[in-house]
Amino acid sequence: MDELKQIKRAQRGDSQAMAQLLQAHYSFLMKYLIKMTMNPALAEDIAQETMLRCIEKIHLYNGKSKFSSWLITLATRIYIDQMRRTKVEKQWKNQEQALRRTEWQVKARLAEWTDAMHALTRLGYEWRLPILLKHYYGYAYDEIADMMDIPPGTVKSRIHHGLQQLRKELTIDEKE
Amino acid sequence: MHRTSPQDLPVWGIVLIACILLAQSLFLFMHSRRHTKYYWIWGIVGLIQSPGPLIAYWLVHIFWPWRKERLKNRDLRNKRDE
Amino acid sequence: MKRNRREQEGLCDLNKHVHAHAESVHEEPSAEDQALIAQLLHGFDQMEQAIRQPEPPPLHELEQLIAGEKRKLRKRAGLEVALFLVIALTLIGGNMLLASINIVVFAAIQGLVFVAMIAFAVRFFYRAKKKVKSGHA
Repeated sequence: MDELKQIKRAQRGDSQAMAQLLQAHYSFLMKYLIKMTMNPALAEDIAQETMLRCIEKIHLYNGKSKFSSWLITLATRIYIDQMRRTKVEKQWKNQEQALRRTEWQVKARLAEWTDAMHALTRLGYEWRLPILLKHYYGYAYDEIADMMDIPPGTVKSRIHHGLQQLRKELTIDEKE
Repeated sequence: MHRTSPQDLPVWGIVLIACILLAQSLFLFMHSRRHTKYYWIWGIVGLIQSPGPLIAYWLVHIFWPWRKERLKNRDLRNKRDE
Repeated sequence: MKRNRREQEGLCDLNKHVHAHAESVHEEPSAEDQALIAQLLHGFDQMEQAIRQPEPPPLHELEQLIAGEKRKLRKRAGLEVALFLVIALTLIGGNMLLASINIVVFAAIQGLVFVAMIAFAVRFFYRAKKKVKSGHA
């Protein structure tokens, strides 16, 4: 009940409790963001945004879900809003992202960047996110629906089509 | 006669109603601000009529959460005793 | 077996949350999907190991961040209250004018809003009770 007490204190305005809360969840948040955005620089920006949003909305947290889940829900919504707003520039952004990807791919000393991950990066965030949330983090369909602000049926179909698309891309790659 | 002259309605009555509405709406605005994202709606509705919005707000944001908490605690206690 | 990563994120979170875990393991993905998913999960793990995670910011930095943000929020809250007061005085003023000119219309609006509020509360209760029933079912 330690964290619950801390949350209650932060909600009442205790800045120290709030700071400890943010610090405790920072690495979980960052890990999630990096997987979600596939873009470490963007991940840091969104992490910052998320913390500010958390400070603003802490008194609206109602304990219905885990605090970490609530936190990444904030982050997910911020990310989706950003992506929606830059729809027009999205093409350019994708180019830039691809560039950064190769950059840290080299720096990252990865033995092999699996084809599956590569294809996943090319997939739009709308399909990548549900797959990440369901199969890596184990969230249920309606939890994901709440996080992404879409109907649960859409979550299911996006995961299905996303995996389908990935399989298609991978079999194409194999043939080359 | 559908027009009432100003003397039909005592000034103090109007001032009283205005004060009640102002107090109610301010309370609703400030309190709901901490509990819901629809605080503007509660504030504005609280400006128009009293005590309807107050009753509704109390039911939705004070009574119901309190009752849910009571029921949950009772369920937990029952489960523990099993 | 489904890997539930949340436990492994290393947070000692005693805030017990009963999530519909049953729902998420209901449908097992097809065999080829499972292989694909395994690849993805492996890739995510690799990514996590390879990318240097920035250290969590120190407490004093966070407290500064919080203080700055709280100041901004307080200012915004003040502006909102000021705006609300302007709207309030306008609406109340108009309403009182209406009351002194035509009490019937005024009373009618009062009655309508009152009924609407009660109806709203009742509808909320009805839906909330339904949710509780299905939640415990």
